[in-house]
Amino acid sequence: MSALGPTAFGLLVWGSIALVLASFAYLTYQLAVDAQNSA
Amino acid sequence: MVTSALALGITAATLAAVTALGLLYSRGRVDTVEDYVSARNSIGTGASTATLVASSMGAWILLSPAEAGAAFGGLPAVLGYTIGSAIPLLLLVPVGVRIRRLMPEGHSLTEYALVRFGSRMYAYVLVVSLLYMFVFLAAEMTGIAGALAMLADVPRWQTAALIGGFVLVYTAYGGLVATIVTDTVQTLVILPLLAVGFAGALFALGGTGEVHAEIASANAYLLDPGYAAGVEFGIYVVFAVLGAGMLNQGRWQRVYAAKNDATLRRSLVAAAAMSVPLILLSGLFGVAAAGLGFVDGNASVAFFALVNGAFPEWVALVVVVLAVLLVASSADTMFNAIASLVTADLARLVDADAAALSRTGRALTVAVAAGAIVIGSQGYSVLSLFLTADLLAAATFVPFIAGLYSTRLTETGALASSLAGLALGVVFFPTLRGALAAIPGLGDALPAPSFMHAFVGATAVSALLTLVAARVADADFDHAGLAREIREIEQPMTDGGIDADDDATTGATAADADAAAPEVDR
Repeated sequence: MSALGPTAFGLLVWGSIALVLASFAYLTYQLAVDAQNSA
Repeated sequence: MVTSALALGITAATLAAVTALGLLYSRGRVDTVEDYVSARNSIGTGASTATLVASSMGAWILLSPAEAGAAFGGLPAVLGYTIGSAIPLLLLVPVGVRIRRLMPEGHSLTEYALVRFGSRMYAYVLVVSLLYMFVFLAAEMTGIAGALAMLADVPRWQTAALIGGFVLVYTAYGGLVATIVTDTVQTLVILPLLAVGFAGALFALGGTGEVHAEIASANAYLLDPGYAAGVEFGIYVVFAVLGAGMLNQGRWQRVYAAKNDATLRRSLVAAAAMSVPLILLSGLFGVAAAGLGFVDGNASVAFFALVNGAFPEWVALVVVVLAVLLVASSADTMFNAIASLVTADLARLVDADAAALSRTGRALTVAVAAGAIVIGSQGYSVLSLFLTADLLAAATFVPFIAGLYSTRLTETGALASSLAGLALGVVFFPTLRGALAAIPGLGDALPAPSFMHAFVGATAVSALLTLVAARVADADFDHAGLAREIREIEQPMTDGGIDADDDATTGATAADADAAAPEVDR
């Protein structure tokens, strides 16, 4: 199998960083929904 | 280089803030042993997801995947680690719901082992689970102590004592309540810090193109998804992490903490999805560290070697805060999980009052913390520590979980399946087979050492024998008996059909449990 090219490597790294930020956004939203439901 | 005083100051300030939060929030909320070890049906999807992420993602995500990427096989090793870490969370979706339904008032995986299988399987699962969690803790302490020693020349014992001491304060005081609230805040801080830290690191290294070119010119095989050694690691780490994930008491506590089954399902899937980019990123930076030539000897701290060698001081400080939060978020889970295991079991096995159980739980938390601090300051290989405990779990989790579904699997069948898997694993396990090899005549007969054969073999043999054992036995275990036997700690345990009010003791004895479960096959 051939080694990962620079474009795929960049997508993997930056895509992961974007997913980490998306996780943060989801968690914040979900905590807000929980707080609203329990209020 | 960051100075030792600055690193210790940042560490202490971060821990002080977390400790204050844990103490303030849990004040007045922990009145009973039940409060201390269980937060039953109390948290929504957000907090449940956050605490699953925080308790799973210790500082090991900056250590083990990076070590895997740097020393165990590059990209495929990292991909294996990533998949392996997400699978146990996904597997816990059906299993967790099953646990909640069969034992709605349960606390620990060992009380399940005792009631479902019997005292021998209980003792075995207790040892495996405690060992795994203690190794997890010790590995966390080892990792952070090594990282701060590299980044700022902080003596290992100082880092381990500082982190262990602070986490101990709020965990011993506030139990699971404090752990969950600090986990939630820690996750909210950890996620953006990770993103900013990794992005800042990339810019400091000249972007992904530059990093890729350096790796490709130095060690191109690290970027090859088909690199054989990495693929092999990627396969066996799935089995290693899977077993350990299923025997993690911290996860069992969180199964019960979720408000309802739907909340549990959503939060487990979300936590699994979130773990993927976190571990992938960390592993890729391990690959980068190896490719850029920053790994010199100890690959455990490959990521920190990269931070130390190539990044400005502010990135190093962000990484210190991040690592400290990661350690605290998983260490508090393990402290409370170990205390809860023993506390829940004591309530069942001895006739102790609630105050004595609370004292015991807190004393155990202190003892566990002290042990982890001592081991953590010794500087062992983090991944080697994990792999040893993982082998025990890999050989145990299939028969253990099968008991939730099979009515025919007996204690003898489950135990024999697990021990046979373990024996096969030890024969192949590179660091454990030394004792066997020393036996005259046996050394030459042993097969070549292989982690792959050890983990896959241990899991496969235990699974196969579990299937056989469940087929050949004529037992008929009544799963409804689990709910009758496993009750909230404050409630008197029922003794078979005897009304709870007639048996007003805090905990039933083991003999009571045996007498009360005639349908339990031994």
